[in-house]
Amino acid sequence: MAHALTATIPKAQASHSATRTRCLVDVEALYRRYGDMVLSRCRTLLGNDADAAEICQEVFLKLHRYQDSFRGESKPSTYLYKIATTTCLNKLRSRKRRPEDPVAEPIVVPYTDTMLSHVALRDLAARITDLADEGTKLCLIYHYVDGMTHAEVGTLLGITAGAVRKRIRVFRNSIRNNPPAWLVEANEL
Amino acid sequence: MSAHLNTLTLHQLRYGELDDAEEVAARAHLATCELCSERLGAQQSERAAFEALPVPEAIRNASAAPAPANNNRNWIVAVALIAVAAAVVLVAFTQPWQSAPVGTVIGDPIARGIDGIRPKGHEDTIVVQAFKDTASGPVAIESGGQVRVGDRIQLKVRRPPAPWVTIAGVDGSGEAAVYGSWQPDADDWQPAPFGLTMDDTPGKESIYAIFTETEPNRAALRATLLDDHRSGEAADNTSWQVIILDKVQ
Repeated sequence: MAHALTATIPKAQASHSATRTRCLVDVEALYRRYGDMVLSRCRTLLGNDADAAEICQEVFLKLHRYQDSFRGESKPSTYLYKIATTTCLNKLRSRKRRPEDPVAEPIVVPYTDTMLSHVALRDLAARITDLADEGTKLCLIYHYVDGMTHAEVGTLLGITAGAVRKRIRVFRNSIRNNPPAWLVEANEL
Repeated sequence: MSAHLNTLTLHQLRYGELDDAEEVAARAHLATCELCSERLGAQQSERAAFEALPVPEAIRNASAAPAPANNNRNWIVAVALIAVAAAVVLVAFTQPWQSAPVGTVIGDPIARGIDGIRPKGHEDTIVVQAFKDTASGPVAIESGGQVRVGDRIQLKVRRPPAPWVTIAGVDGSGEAAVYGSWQPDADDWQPAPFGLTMDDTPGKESIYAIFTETEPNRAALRATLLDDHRSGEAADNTSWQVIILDKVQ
């Protein structure tokens, strides 16, 4: 093993290829076609226009950067929707402690087993930032915010409907047993 | 939730991306559902407003520029997750690497439904590369590249936002395994202190390099993988990057 550890790949070879590929994806055209969907998605999840515009741009710049992946997609809208969703989640993580974050507001819904259906979901993405792992957050957002069935969510994420259902169930159980502050406040209203 | 059309379906209806059967079903639903018709109308209004906006300069510039090196697409970040399959056997290499042509590597975060990228400030950083041992030396493996039973894979990592690196994976049968953790002692590329030999489980091999602030709990990592190898329990300040290989007999 010691020998293996001392062996090295020439740095120039191990680092990224300097070769650049010609841009085959017309990002501007895609923006003109799908930008409204991405912008709307970002507004829904982020809750304000400034952040939504910023993340919308970021989504298309990612598309430019990762265009090899994009070329394998049959539906550009699906691909962009997924990128927009995950990018928004990242954004929410980065701003979660800011005082202007609307998450601090209590939500006026009864704390019941069907809470998530009632929340339906203004600010859901922001409210669950610290409460679930990435995969579960995606399941919750696609299901509760977008109204996708478990099967549709599973198809989008490449997992089974049962796995989606399980993730949501586990999350609901967890917040029932250890309710976040905003749920407790809501319950007291 | 299935009583109405989901938001993405409404978008795709507008874009003409539904197949015939889907479109027929969607339009039949819209004919009888006031709520969904209103949602579609709202999308169309947003569309009209959007068309009045200028295209951001950054996007115009991107369209005019060549794509970045496509290796940048290969990373993700998130939390504590994973590693190469039970289909992969951990081995210690006894032979030093030989110099050989090496390309570049890695995984496809977006294809996994998570475009990556957790730790802020490191979004464009490739932190793990894979190489297959060959008679002429190690050769880089592209994401989606083929490996065969018995192939030996070496990894190199560049210490990213966290000091601990764990190699783990999920094989084509859904089995997960955590192969080992260590602390790279420098920020430059370094070989993993072990390699992997492909076993005979066919299918996709997802090899993860997981980066954590502290030494991770291997059992917890594996349990997460077994539950759903697409994502995992995340701990703050943890990130990972994945390389997906196609294993054939």
